[in-house]
Amino acid sequence: MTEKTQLPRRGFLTRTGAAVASLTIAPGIFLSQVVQAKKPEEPASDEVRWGLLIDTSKCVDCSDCVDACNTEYGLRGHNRPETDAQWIRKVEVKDKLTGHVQALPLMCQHCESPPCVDVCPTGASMKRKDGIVLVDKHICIGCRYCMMACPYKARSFIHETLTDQKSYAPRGKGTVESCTMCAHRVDAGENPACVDACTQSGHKSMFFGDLKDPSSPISKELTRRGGKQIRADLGLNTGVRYRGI
Amino acid sequence: MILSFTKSLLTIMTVAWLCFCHIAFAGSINRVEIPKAEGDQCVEPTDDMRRNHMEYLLHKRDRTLREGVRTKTHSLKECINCHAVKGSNGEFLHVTDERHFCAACHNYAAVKIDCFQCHADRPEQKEQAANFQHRLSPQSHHKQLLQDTVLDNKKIPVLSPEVLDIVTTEGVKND
Repeated sequence: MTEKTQLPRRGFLTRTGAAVASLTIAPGIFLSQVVQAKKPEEPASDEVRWGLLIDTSKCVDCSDCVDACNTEYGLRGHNRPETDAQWIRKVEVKDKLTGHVQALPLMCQHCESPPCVDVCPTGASMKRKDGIVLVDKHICIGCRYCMMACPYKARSFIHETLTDQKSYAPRGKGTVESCTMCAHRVDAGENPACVDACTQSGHKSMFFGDLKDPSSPISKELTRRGGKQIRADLGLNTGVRYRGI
Repeated sequence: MILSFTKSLLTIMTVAWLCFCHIAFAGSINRVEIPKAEGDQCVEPTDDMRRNHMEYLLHKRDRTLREGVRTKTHSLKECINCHAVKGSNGEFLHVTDERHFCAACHNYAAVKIDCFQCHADRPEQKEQAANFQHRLSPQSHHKQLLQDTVLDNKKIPVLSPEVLDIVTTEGVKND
C-alpha cells in the first residue's frame, strides 16, 4: 500500500544541499514558518516530505509539546494514566563521560523506510505519500507487531473503550496508534500542535516543514547547521531530525 | 350458482382478511422514526443514501486516511454534524441512545455498526472539549483529582476547587 521512495537519501541530501547553497540569504536568518495548505480535494503528494527539526539545546525542562499533544487528541484525562496512549514523550539522554543531561521530545520518527509498515500483517500500518506514517485503524487487528518493530517505542495500544473522541482523530480500543504529525492540521496548512506549543512558549526548539523543498526554512536550517537522526545506523531515514545530541 | 356464491364468499373473506391484517399489523409494527436532519438537502438522494450510505463511507474513509483527501461530501464527520439529535437536556445524543440518527435505523434493522468505536458519534462540542482536561494536570480530569499524582518522578499536586477558579483560563472551564 505504501509508495516506494523515488529518491535515495544520498541523492536527496546532495540535491537539497546544492539547491540551498545558492538560496541561503544569510547565516542566522530563520525565515518564518509558512506551510502551504493543500486543497481539500487534493491528495497528499510525494512532492513534499513533511519533517521536524528539534533543537535540543533550546529544549528546556518543560512539557508544553507533550501537553499540547495530549490536549489535541484527548489522550489523557481518563483517570487511568497507566494505560493512556503516549504519542510524544520527553526522554533524557545522559553523556556518561561528561555527565551532561539533555532532554528531548521523542515521537514517531516518520521513517522513510518504516519497520512498522514492513511487519504489519494487514497493511494497516502505512505511509502516506507525503511521508507521514499512520495506522489505518479500519483494518488494524491490534496484533502489536508494529510496536515491537519500532526502534523508538513510538506506538501505543488502546486497551480501554473510548468515548467522545475528537472528530478529527478517531481512536478506538484494540488498535495501535502513534503520532500522526497532526495530519489533519498539516492538510489544513497548519503546524503540528507540539510545534505550535513550543513556539508559543517562546522556546522555539521545534520546526516543521517540507524536507523536499530546498527553500523551506527547515531544509535551509538542516543544510546550514545539520540535524542528526536517532539510531541513524538503522538506515531508516527519519523525518524527524535532532540537533545538539 | 354455487360457483358464483363461492366466488363472492371468497372475495368477502379476502377483503375481511386484508382489513383484519391491516389493523393487526398496524398495531404491532411500529415504523422507525427517522430523526430530521438540520440541513435542507442531503449530499445524495434519500433513497440512494438509505441503500448505499455504507458504500459512500467506505470509499471515503480510504480516500481520506490513505490519500489525505479531505472533502466534506460523504465524510462521516459531516453526516454527524448534520444529523445530530439533541436530547431533552439540549445535549447531543450518543449512539447508545436509540434516538440517535444512526441508532434509530440500525437498532430497528438489527444491524450492528462499529464506526463509533473510534469515530465521534456527535458533533464536537467546544465547551465540553475545553472542560475535558486540565491544563495544569493533563493526567486527570480536574473533578477526579482526589490525590497527588506522581508521574515521571514529578509530583502533581491536588488542585482544590478554589485554585481551579483562579487558574481558569482558556481551555479550563470550572462548572
